[in-house]
Amino acid sequence: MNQPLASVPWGPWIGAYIVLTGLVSGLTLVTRFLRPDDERAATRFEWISSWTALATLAGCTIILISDLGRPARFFLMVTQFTNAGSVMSWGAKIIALKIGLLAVYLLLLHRRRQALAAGDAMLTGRATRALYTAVPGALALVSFALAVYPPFLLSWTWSSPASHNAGSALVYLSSSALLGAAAASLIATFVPDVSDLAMTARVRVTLMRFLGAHIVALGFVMLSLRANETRVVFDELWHGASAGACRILVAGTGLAVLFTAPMFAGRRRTALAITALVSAAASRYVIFAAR
Amino acid sequence: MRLGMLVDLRTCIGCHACSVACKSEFDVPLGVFRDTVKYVEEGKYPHATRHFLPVLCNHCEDAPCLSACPTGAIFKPEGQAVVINKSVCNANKVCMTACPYGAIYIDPFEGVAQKCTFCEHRTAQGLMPACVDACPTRCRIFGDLDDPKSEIAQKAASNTTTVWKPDARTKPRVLYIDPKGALGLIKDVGIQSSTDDPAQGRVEKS
Repeated sequence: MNQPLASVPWGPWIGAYIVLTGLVSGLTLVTRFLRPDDERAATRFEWISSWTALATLAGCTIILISDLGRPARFFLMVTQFTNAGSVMSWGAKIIALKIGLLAVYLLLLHRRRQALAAGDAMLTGRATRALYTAVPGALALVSFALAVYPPFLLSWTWSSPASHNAGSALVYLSSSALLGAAAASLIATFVPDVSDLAMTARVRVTLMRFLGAHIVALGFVMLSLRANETRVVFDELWHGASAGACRILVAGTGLAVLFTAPMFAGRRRTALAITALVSAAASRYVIFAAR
Repeated sequence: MRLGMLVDLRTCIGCHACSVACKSEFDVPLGVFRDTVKYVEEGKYPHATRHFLPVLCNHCEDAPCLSACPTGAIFKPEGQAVVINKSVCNANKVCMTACPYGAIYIDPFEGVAQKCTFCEHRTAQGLMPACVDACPTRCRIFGDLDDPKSEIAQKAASNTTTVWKPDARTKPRVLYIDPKGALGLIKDVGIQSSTDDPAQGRVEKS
């Protein structure tokens, strides 16, 4: 028979897709709650964050199309409604919906930036205000759906047994929030005029809280695995089908820390954000790949 | 009507005539199978035993591949085989990850998912599936499980039958007569290269 573990259908690229969906959903959600108080800075922050999310989603789409072989196959998954019970079908539609909503929101932000540049700080008209509330609201809903989508999808499969418990679902949610907070922190640090003092403090506190929540969630996963399962999972990671990717990940992280640590001397916020990004991405990948 | 297959493990001799007939019928590429025979060894010399286990798509009543398919390419006409519509398959492989039996593969030439169809092109003409026709010991019986007069229903009624991986709760329509409990010896972790499994003294090959 086609041996399940001799040829695992989904490889490292789908693992990367699972990581990126966490980043893109977390970034949109966190952006909504970390807006600076200043309207100009807030609009610029959302503008940069939305473009980052759109670029990341484009990356997700390219990964999926590469895996499927040609664009028409991804389009088929988006346009077919014959099997409403398929989690993957919902995932493709959520991604397409989010791309559409982000495009609309970027258009709205563009108009808002033009209005602010012209000195018009107020949103006038009920319909306009409703639009500027409804679109980011819908984006938040869709982003939450995308954040919780991977554990639903992977719970169907035999290829990600570590995803078959409530703890891992929690990790997917916490890592998504952490990835978003880390990306928002990096945007606030490196992009000029998007952050004020209050927002800087808010980002730091949020990042620390999400990191704490993520560590607790990881603890739940470890508790939910029996002792022998934990050994099997880590043995397989290091020696099994995904050993190459895992070793590169570990070695790459180590080298990255070694060579970039001096650059972050005195930049604790950046170091914390990168640590959060790497640890959240690694935990998502490990739960996907462990078998 | 509920088409199914009954495999009598007491009479399987592991000759692979079924695998070869299936390969020939569908021109199945090298390295993948719609139907094959697993070998499971049990015990140690001088009490070692080898079991032969023909395995194929179980055409489950609650087929996880069908539920998982995002394009609706997998479907099951009432009571008949679970089949794949190649024109709608986009090779996302979710069916492969959902199937607990490893019964689906991606055809490397066509780039779409493929699996056993119970030879629907043959059964539609009143013929038996190729594997059933090829079996020299008649260990495979194909027919309507709901028809009390059919050979498969009568043999199933007069013997204790089991299914592969009952824990998966997929309600397979491939039944086995397995008095030695050999099906439970198939490991989930793929082919073992060693001839000695210190944990159980069991080895699986295919």
